[in-house]
Amino acid sequence: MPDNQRTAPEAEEYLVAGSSSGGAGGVGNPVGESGTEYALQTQAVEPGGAADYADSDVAVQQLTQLELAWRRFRHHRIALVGATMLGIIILMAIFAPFLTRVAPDAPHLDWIDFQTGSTGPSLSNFPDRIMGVDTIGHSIWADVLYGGRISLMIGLGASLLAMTIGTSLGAISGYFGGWVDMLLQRFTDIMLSIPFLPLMIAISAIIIHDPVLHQNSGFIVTFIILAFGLLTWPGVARIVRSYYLTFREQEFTEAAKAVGVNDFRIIFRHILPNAVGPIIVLFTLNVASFIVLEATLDFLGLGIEFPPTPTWGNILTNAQDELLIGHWWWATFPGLMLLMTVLAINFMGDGLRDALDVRSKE
Amino acid sequence: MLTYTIRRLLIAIPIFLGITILLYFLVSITPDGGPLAAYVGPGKHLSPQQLGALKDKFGLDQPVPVRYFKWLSALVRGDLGNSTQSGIPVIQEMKDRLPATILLIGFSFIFQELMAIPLGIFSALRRYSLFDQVFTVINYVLYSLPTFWYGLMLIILFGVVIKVPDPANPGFTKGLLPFSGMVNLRVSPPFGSPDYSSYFAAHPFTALGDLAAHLVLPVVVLATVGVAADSRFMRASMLDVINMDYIRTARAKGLPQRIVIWKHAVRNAILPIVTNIGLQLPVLLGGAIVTEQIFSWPGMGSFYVRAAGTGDYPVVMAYTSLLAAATIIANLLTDLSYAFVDPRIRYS
Repeated sequence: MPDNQRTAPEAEEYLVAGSSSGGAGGVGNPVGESGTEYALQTQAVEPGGAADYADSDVAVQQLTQLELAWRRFRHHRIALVGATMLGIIILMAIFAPFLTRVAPDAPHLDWIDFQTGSTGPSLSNFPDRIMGVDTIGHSIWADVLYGGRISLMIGLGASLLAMTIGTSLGAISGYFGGWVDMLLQRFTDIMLSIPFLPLMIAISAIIIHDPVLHQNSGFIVTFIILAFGLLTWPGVARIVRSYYLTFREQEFTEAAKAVGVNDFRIIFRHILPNAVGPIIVLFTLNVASFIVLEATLDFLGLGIEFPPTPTWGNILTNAQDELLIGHWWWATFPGLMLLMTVLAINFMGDGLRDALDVRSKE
Repeated sequence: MLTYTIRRLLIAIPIFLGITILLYFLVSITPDGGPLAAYVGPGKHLSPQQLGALKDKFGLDQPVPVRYFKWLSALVRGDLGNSTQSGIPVIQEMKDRLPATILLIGFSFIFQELMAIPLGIFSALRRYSLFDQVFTVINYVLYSLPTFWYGLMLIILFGVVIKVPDPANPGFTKGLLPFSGMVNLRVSPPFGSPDYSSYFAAHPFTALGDLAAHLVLPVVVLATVGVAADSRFMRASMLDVINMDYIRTARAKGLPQRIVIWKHAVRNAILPIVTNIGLQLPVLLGGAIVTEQIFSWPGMGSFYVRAAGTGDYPVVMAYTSLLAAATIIANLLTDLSYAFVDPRIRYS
């Protein structure tokens, strides 16, 4: 890393560039300003060691940190599998109305074979019966497609909220220190000692028993996103804080201070790009765990209810009793989708960790 | 060391108070009468008089801070209140459920570590081998399994699809493994009931076999995710250690690989795992909410879900505060154990 080149800090753009190549895994391109310096990071040898351009005729390639990260991600086979899987699942959820001809809560009693009692997978009425139907003839295929919307929305929404609050407060806490930091640390101690799932169960149970609200799926979705986000940001804040504690002592921060850059700008323009790697990885892992947690709440009957709104968790609640008479399809497919989604996100998280060069905290 | 411990304990008190305040207020922000809606059940409406009488009965007519201080002063006296559902003291209810939970969680911990530690070591020693790569992918799948779905799938496979002849009913078949409760209630009194100990004494082998059969599925479900997480952890820890200078020194001295690995490397690599297990100890008290629910295991977890579902807030408060306290203590013990096993660490 060309550390010694950073001794003459003339322009702020240059500092941002220098900070991005600081080795701690920033993806560069901070807030989209068009400074040429940082867009053209010079990197002779790729840290990941991939030899794909060893045979190119130029010895030195100019790549941004983003390009470097993408290059490493592209060569991570498991991560690509994960990204593809996730892409398909997201597309399935978005284009649900085009992939099925029925509404998820429309019963089709004629799809149940009352002679044999069978509701199992069938190729007739393709594709709506490929995953079978439930006891009153809901298409499980349609339920699974529409259920994905809820899972993905809650996972992404809640994780985004937790990241936004956690990153901002963690950054302020780590950068300024002092009583703000003290206060936030004690609050984080408190929040991290509270068992999350039991607490969510307790507060969801109260909402669920409200005679009006429990049928209002839109309200419950908003409630779960807010609750997940507001109760889990301290974990994010603690990790972001640890990066700010390190970076505020480094030369590029001191240099920025010396040329009179204000604190706000240092926090978000100079240090944040360096901490973006771990934040993205944390974001990904949070999405996966929120999706499972939300499905768990639904499964326990403390989340979104079906009817009216199917989710991967509440389909399984209804399917539980049918399992014992051998109707395996009802529980299998929604759970399989849940597993695929979480697996895809975890695969991607692994690839991102390597691509963004986030050191393992273990 | 002693002053450090005392200071940590003193810091723990305000943190615990903060937790209980936060929990109490979160449990209390509820629309209209709060837990009462859950108490009377969904969709039922009460007359204002009935609502007033109920509020009076549970002391809900007072403002939240007053109720909190009443709850806290009772807690200091060792009184966690009575369950609003059964009227029995919460402590008694918990004492009744704790043995079932400790049995389940204890066995799954043991099973989990017996699997995870050797797998992690083996995988680290053969890094980048076919075994390591296959193991890594399988681990991802196991780690991503949603517990409740995985439990249901095991139930359908081992409880419904795979059948064995039923010795009790000749000519009939039953599922290979039981998947509900702790004992076969057709022949045995419920686990923990006064009759159970005399039944156990009379037929020790039948009783043990029955209990063991009921343990298999929930233990496997609980241990699977743990194996995935802990074997990765063991692998990482082992990889750290085998690159250390003292391992190279041991090799340079000409020690056989067996001694280097088992005596020098594993003994050091296993320490983080031990402390990691320490951090998981609160689960021994809290139980496994989802797994206990699926397998109708009469432990703390399923008790809590039922209590929360019926708005039994003394139980909710007692359970969550207990878990929080256990978490704080486990953290402290873990930090202290670091100093105990690693003489380089000094707290002051």
